[in-house]
Amino acid sequence: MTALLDIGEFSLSFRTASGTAPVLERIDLAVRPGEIVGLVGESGCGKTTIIRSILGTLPERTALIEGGHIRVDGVDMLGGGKAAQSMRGRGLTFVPQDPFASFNPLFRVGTQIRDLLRWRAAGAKNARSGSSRQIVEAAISAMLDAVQLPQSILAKYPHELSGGQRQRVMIAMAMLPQPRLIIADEPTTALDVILQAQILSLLRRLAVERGVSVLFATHDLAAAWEICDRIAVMYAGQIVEIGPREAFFDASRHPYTRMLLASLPEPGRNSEVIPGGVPNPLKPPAGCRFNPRCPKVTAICSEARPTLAAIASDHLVACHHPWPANAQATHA
Amino acid sequence: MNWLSMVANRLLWVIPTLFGLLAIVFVLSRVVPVDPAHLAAGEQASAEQVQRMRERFGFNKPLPVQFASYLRDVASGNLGTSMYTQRPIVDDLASRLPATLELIFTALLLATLIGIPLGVLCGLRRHSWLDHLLRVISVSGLAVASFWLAMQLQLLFSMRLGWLPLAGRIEGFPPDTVTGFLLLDALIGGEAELFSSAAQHLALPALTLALPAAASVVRFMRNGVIGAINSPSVTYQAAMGFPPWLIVWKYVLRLALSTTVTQLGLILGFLLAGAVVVETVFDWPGLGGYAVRSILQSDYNAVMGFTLCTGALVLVINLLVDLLQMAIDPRGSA
Amino acid sequence: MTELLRRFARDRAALFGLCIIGPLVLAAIFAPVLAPYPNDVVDFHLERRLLPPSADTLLGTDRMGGDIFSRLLFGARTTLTLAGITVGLALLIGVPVGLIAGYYENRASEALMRVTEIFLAVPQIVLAIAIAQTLGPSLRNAILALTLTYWPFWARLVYAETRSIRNEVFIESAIALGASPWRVVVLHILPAIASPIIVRTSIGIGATILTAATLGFLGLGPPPTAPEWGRMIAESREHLPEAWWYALAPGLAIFLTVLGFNLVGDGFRDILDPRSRRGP
Repeated sequence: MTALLDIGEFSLSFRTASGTAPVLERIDLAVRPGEIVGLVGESGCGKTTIIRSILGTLPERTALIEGGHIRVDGVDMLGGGKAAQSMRGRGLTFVPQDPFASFNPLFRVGTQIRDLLRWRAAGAKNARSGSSRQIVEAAISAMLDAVQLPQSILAKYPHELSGGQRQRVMIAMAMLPQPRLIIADEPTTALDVILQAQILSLLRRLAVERGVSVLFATHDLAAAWEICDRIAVMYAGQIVEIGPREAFFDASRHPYTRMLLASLPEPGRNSEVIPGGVPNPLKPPAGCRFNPRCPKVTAICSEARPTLAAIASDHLVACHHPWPANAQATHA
Repeated sequence: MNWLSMVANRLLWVIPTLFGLLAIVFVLSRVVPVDPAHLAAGEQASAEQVQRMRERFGFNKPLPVQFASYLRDVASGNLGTSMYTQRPIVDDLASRLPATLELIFTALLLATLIGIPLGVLCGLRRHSWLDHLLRVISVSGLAVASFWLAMQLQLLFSMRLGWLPLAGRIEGFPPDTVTGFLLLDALIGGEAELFSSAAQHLALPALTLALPAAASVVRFMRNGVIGAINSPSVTYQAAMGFPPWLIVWKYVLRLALSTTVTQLGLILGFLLAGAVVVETVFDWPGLGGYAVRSILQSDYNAVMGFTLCTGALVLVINLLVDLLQMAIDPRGSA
Repeated sequence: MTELLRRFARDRAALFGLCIIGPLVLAAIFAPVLAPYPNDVVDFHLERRLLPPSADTLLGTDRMGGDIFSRLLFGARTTLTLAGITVGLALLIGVPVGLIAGYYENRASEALMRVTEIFLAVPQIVLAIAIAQTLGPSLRNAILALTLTYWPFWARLVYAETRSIRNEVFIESAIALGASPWRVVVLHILPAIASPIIVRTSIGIGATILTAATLGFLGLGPPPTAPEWGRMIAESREHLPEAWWYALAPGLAIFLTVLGFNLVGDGFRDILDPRSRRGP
């Protein structure tokens, strides 16, 4: 089965006042049709940069693509070509991190949804004619039911909606063009815990029902566990481990992943802090970027970057010294 | 806060503000070293004549009494008589207000017609040569003394080229008064020649006023567009593949306009202040020229009338700007 | 601090502004030395009146035969003195009023701000003309008139800034620790709102120069014997279009001076106001 989202050997730097920061290093990541993949990592590890690269919203003046490719459904998303532009808002949609700021405050919610459908969604060409306007309205109305919002929100301004309602509208807007892939960038960080669970299960239910793939970026392992089929872990601009959800939580192999899991608070266990700090983005460590903080570090770790290699079926790890499958975390 | 309570709240403050304004000008007018009665009676007047003048204007009574009787008159719509035109000040103001409004609104129209498109272009092409050029021009536009600019324009277009009249508002008899705006009245009356005369007379003063205002509109729009383009809502729409023209000309434009509208009161105040000087240079028969002449001639009833009129105008303008702001931005400006 | 200076030095527009103001201040100080005809401030030479610019008289002569260049240099003194003292006085009135009204949230502070609004309800130029006319034309009275009309701008600015940080944690904690209002205002609030005051002061000097020139133009500035740019322009009116050079030099002098202060103000805004700072 070919991947719907195909990121290969993708490297990117940011030019800053004090030098070039290699933010992403040779990212390999694939999302298959109908699959929900979590992209997990601490803030600043490069999740959002990957997402902005796919969506074409990188800051033009500072971002420097060093190599590799990003394809969605076979279309190259990096060159900024017509095909990529026409993919966005049709085959590929987006649920943003901040539903508060992502609406234009001066237009009614309905206007913003209709503009999306009129100018973007499949069959947009005839959506402006009278008869198909009714089809658009019917689609919007059905989608509002699906995300459990009253029809009345169409006439409201964004500031009149609650945080949960806004994110439901965002999900509706992501679903309406009937995309094949949805990118969700920390869609629940701005919400409280109870709303988070509701929104996540809504996203998962709609995606599964409609066979839409989702790339779900989060720093929240619990959220990833709730809705993902597979999980990819990032550290400082490198992908360190990709595996099925079960393998990830029960049999993770990368020392960073293990330490990340151990840092989760759980009843009856003190959470453990990962020693050291995130590396300076301008001067990341050579080789494996986790090596200064890694309990299993050896000389090779700072000499060669470990490549992502299959260690079990569907389970890839980028580590010179992965933990054995059943070993418990033994650091600290 | 809904708009009704906003308007009510504002109107509640109009009275004390105007009262304070009048009090300040009144006190000012009565500490004058020159005796206004003396001036009004003329240089050859005898002491007796001056005294009669003093009594006629009530200058012989204590200050608070004078102020109270002035306020009583104002409340009944009587602003007194100008010592120089010998006409009721209300009539003077009423005949001059339309001229000033015509000038200011034309200048505002010019400033927005020039400033908005240029500001949007600068914001979209940030750091381009056009942006740099317009930054230089707009910073410069705010540094020019308007009376000097007015004179240079007169020198070039009236004296040297002879394209436009030097001063005044119209050649010959004005059209029948309907709105008081000569351009509109000429249009309504279907008088093409008068219209063209009025337009030619209006051109230089309006341009003088409009240039610095356009400069600030360019700056506000530019910053508004840059702020809007960097906002998450625009990033979201770009990621969702909204066509760039739709994002810019519908969504970004409205955001930038809403921030510029907050400055509209400032710009109108700026135009009103500019009109005082520009009207003097171009001999424009509006309020500004009237004010300067009244002040220079110590015609203090006229000055008070002008102050009242301008103060009310400024308050009304601010109120309208706030209402416009509320109409554009549903979040409310409160 | 050095970082701030470096950022300021990178702003070419602001540097250009400094390059105008610096020489201008020097020219004003050394006007008696620099002026080719320092006596032309008071003398008149009717035999050489209204001469166009030449090697002898760089910018031409005025209606009294005075050398415009020399008068321009002395005019710089008038203008800078006037603007400097006016803005200084306006700060001395406006800043304390704004601080007090902003710090105390009671009826008195409300009333104080209403008073400033009254001053702002008519065009500043009108109030300034009225006051200057009432007091009679002189340099001192022009300063007084401009100060009385401009202090509300600073009061309102300082008031708004004080209100916006009044409830910040560092202010609240200083009060909770028992600091006196005086101490809180001077040691905590004033430093925190210094940047907008500096920015506004630089731009305010430009605005004051423009208004002062307008007063001079209307004959309400310093008396005719004192060289003043606005008055020079007014004098030139009756000699147009022949004496085109007459108004040119003082007009450009006003323009460049105001431009200089505005550019420096913009530069200060860019380095002091984090909201407008350019991204990486």
